Amino acid sequence: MPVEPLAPETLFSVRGLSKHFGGTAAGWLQKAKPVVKAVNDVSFDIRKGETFGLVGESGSGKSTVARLMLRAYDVTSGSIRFRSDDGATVELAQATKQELTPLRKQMQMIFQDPYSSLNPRMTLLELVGEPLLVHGVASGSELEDRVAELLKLVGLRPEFRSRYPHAFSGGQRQRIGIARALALKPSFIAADEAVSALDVSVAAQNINLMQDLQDQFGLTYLFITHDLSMVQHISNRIGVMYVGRLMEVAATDSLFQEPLHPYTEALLSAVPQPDPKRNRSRKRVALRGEVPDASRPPTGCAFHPRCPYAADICKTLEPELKEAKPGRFARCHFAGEFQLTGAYA
Amino acid sequence: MTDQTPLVEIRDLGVEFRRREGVVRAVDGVSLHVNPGEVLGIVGESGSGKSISVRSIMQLLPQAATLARGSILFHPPGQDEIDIAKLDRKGKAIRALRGRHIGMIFQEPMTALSPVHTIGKQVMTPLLLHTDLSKPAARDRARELLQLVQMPRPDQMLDAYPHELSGGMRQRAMIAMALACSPSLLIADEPTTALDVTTEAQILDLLKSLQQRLGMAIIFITHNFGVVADIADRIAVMYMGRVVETGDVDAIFESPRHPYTRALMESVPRLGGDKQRRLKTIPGMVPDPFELPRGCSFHTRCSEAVAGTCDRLEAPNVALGRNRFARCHLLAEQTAGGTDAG
Amino acid sequence: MTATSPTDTPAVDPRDAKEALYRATPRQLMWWRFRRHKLALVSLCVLVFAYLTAGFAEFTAPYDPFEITETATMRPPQPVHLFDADWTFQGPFVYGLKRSRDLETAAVIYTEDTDDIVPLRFFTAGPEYQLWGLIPGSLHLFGAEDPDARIYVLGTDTLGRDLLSRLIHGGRTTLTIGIVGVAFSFLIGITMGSISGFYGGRIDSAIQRLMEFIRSIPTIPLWMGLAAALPVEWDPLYVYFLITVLLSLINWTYLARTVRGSFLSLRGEDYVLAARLTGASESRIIIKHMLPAMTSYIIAAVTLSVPEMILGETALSFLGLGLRPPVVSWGVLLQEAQNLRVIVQAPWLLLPGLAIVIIVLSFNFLGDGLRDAADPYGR
Repeated sequence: MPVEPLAPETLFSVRGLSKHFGGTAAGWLQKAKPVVKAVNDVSFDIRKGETFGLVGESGSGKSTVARLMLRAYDVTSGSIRFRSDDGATVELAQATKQELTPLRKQMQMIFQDPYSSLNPRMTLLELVGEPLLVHGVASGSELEDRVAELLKLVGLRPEFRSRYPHAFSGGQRQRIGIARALALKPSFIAADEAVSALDVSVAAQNINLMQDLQDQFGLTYLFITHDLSMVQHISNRIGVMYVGRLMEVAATDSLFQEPLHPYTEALLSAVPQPDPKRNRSRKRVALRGEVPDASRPPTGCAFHPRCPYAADICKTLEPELKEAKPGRFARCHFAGEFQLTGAYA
Repeated sequence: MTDQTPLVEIRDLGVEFRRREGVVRAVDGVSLHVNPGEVLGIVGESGSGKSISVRSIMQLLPQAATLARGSILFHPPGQDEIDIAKLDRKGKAIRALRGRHIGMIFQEPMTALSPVHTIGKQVMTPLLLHTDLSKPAARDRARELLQLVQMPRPDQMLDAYPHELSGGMRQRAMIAMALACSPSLLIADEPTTALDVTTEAQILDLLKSLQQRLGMAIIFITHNFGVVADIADRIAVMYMGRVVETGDVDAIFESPRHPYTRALMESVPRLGGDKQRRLKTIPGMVPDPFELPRGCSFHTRCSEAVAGTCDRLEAPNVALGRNRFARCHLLAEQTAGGTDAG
Repeated sequence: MTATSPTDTPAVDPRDAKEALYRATPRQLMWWRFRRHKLALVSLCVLVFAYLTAGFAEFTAPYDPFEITETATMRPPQPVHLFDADWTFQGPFVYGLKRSRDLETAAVIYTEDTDDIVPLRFFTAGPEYQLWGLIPGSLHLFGAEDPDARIYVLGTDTLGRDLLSRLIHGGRTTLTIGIVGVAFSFLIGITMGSISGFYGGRIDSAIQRLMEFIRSIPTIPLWMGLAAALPVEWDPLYVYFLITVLLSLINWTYLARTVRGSFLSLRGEDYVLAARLTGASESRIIIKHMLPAMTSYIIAAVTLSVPEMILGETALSFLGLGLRPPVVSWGVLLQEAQNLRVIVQAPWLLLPGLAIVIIVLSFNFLGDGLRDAADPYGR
């Protein structure tokens, strides 16, 4: 099946991506599991060399999107087109294991938990060297040299390669994870809450490191987080997710200046600021209730039970993600019709 | 300095952990006070000892920890002063304080709520324990409390089990439990860290409105500068078991004086703030608690450290105006004579 | 390279104690952690001692366990002394026993004769044997200096057989039954458990239900039925083999559950996903990432299931359903001590029971220590 080629500046193009978990009927030997629509009709593009931020609260499906793009899971429906290093466009959504293996060199992941993402029974040499070994890129003393180089790159001493992960703090472990992700010189790295588990001062060090590496190697990042201040700092463009749906996509500045979706507005106003005077003067959009369960999403627009602007149509009809303004997409019936407050107000 | 008797006054508190590798001074000479009806925010990174120092007020320390020195003076309204540090951690006197005069809420409500009892029953427990309310009266009061914390459908929730509730509602249930006996002090240990941003905002608003209505004092522990700016009246910043800076919230955020406070604030990106390419960082790592540096414990990472002073002598606690202190050699030089060996 | 060097840690000195900790292999860490459990350590020593003694039973036992001495029935244990009645040092010795009869009841009475010193010597020649049925020899760990004298440290049974020798030879049967049986259940358990944990879904459910079915069968009636079906004229060795297979057919479910559980929890670990995303093959993931993390748990689980086997054998033999004389095992020895008259007149015949308690407890303590050391990275 021929794949429609991507524009040269696009690295990833995701269209109508969905992932449903569970959904097994009750049988003789097992109980029924309800369908959880973790990701529902998500579409966005990632450009070469940019950092695309994906924000959302727990259960919004943001991590699942990243794992689908890296094909850690099978895709339920939709397409994921990826521009390979040789310029060819490949369709990842239905790619087989054999087709994926060579592509894995080009896309890597950094995990949230610096403890569970490194095998405690392997030395740094084995950990960081594993991708090189698996793809037959280097072995023996060449492997040692490459690992030493990678460790230096992330600010760790090459002599550390005979140590095990338990010797390191959370922030350093995260760097080991970054070194492992860089080993195969990928063009794309998905960072799943990469600094959320770290203390602020350590998180800042690692964010700076990630930006330096981006400049040095021309990396493209998918940066997943629930921390709006951090995503604003690092991203060029941002997608906002809610209960498995992409609610809004826009360039960082325009999204923070003038959100088009009421959920984005609420999210921005909910973040407490390290500025007591502003907190006092600012009016918060008080949201009713809590994030709904992804296995029982509301009818119509997923946000309508909490939305201060909800109208009757929102209860019955689910809106599409549409281009409300040039380059700005929002999944709201009234996108662009309200004057919503941003974070710069 | 203060014109009223503080509700709680911690003086020169020291808490030690005995480990096979040696003794860790998790809290080393912390002095703090909370006035009645005031919200004190304690900020610090992990391992700063913020949680341990505040848990000492409830005598809720891990088995391996000992209260090595210092006093914790508590003035329950209309009663004599009690030095909590001298009480037996399993004794009657401390149990009479817990839940009655001091309430506590945690980061993980699920670990604090019993999974086998209904919410109603758990909110009633402190009432039956500390007051002479009858069971039906306690149940009515529990319903009122659930209304107070803005729990949706309080009548139904009385008979619900914790696992049926969402994270935010569990946190509300725990707040109701902590407030059951109208304590004069509420200790909140990172109560919003595990919550989503929108839920966090709801809980913060709830705590602020409850504090205004009921007038209790709150000690709020967090690592998030945004949260502390939102809720606190006064702030104490902790590093390696010490309070490095304390003062009114506006003053601290306007002009942080201690190099650590300053560096920490600058390393957090601000929402809607000026966009800079790089974040400011604090160099190095948090020191090994078994091998604390000599002198000022921050000197190894401080960009302004002066060789010969900061790496040799312990930093003095410098008074910088009303309610304002910072532990730093540099500030001591600037305000010569204004030191207070605290 | 880049301008980032924020983690300025001091240079690495491999001789440094801390650096040794940082470079400690998983096995070292586990050993360090295990070492802290004094009880487990002692248990390990007890077990090593027990298995060595039983392994070289022909050498360590002073006499042939089947040798009947009519003149020495039901002799009480002879304690070993170093000093005689006048507190003069004599080296290890026992007092001789005088045999007489109670004039009224005609029962045999043994009395200690403090004038009759029977010296005890190590590495002496004694009855001839064939070690493991192969190597002929006559050297024993200890025995009476006088080749004609007899020393019964733990006394004798109703037929005048040396209890210590029988205990040691019986230990060989009982202790190996534990190991061999666990080896069987290990094979079944690990296979079924990994299939269950790795594939999940329908296969997993089917295996789970099968395990639950096996666990719900009342074991004693099952054993009784099966043991009754074994022909009496069969070679005791066959019976021995069948008993172990029987025990392990029930026991494997515990191991399978452990293996399945660790497979399931490891499958969800981020580092397994990370390996998968680098393009590592399934076999590499299982061999390099999952098995090393599991082995320690499996070893602990295996250790903890050995006592089940030992107790199972003992119970069966005690009921007369398992091993039968002339095979000696601790269960068989206990069966011989079953009647009240024997217990009253020769309480030392219950000593095999004490041996069982010690061995079972040791395995349990060792297993506990191992289980605790199994994950030295616990947070």
